[in-house]
Amino acid sequence: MMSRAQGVYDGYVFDFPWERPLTGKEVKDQFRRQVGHEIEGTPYIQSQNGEIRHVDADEVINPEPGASFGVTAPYDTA
Amino acid sequence: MRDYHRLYEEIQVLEKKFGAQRVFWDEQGNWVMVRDLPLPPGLNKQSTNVIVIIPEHYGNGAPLRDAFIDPDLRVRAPKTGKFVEIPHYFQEFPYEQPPIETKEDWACKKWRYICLHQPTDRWPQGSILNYLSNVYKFLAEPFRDWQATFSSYKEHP
Repeated sequence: MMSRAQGVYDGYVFDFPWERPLTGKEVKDQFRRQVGHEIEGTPYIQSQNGEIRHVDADEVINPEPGASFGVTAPYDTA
Repeated sequence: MRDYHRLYEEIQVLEKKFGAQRVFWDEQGNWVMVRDLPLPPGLNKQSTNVIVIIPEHYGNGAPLRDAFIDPDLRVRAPKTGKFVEIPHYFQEFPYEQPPIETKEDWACKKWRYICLHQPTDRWPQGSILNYLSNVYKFLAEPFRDWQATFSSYKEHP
C-alpha cells in the first residue's frame, strides 16, 4: 500500500510517496527527480515528534506514517 | 570584504523565521545572535542561544565556520540513557585564535564553541539559516560519523 510523506528541499514542500522500505540512495533519487537537478548531501527522515535521523546511502529505512524527508548539505565537524 | 547586502537580507530572513525580538547583530556585521534556537529531542534543554561568527569575506567566498552556543548542553547517551558530553562541543575555542574577541573572552562570557563548518558560502546552502539548521541536525545525532554518512553518497552519484 502506498504511503505518503512530505519532502522538503530549499523551502519547497512536495509529496513524497513510497510503498516499501527505501534505501537512502532511493530517497535521494526521488529528491533529484522532484527538483530536476543533481543535489548534494545526505537525506534525513524527521518523525512527527521532531526526531531527525540521517540515512546512509545503502541503509534501508521503513518510515512511519507522517514522517517527512529532507536533505542536509555536507558540512565538516573536524 | 563582506557582502553586507546579502548579510542584511539574511538577517531579515532570520527575523521572519524566529521573530525580530530574538535576532541580534553587531553594527559591523561580525556576528549574528539568535536567542532560544529550538533544539532537537534528546538534549537536556529545549533551546539555546547561538552566536554565529560572520567571516570577513562572507558572501565573497568565505563560508561560515564558527559558532558559540549555551555552555550547559548535554545529550542523552543512546546506550545508557544518561546525559553526557556532546562531541565537537568545546569549552574553549579549539583553534589558534577566534575571529573576534579572545578565547578567554568567549569562555568568560559562558559561551561554548560548536565545531561545525560549512564547506562553501554558496547560496542557499551556505546561508546563516542553513547553518543554524545544520546545528540542529548535528545536535540531533551528535554521535554520528558524519564524514562516513556524507561520503556514502559520493559512491552513488
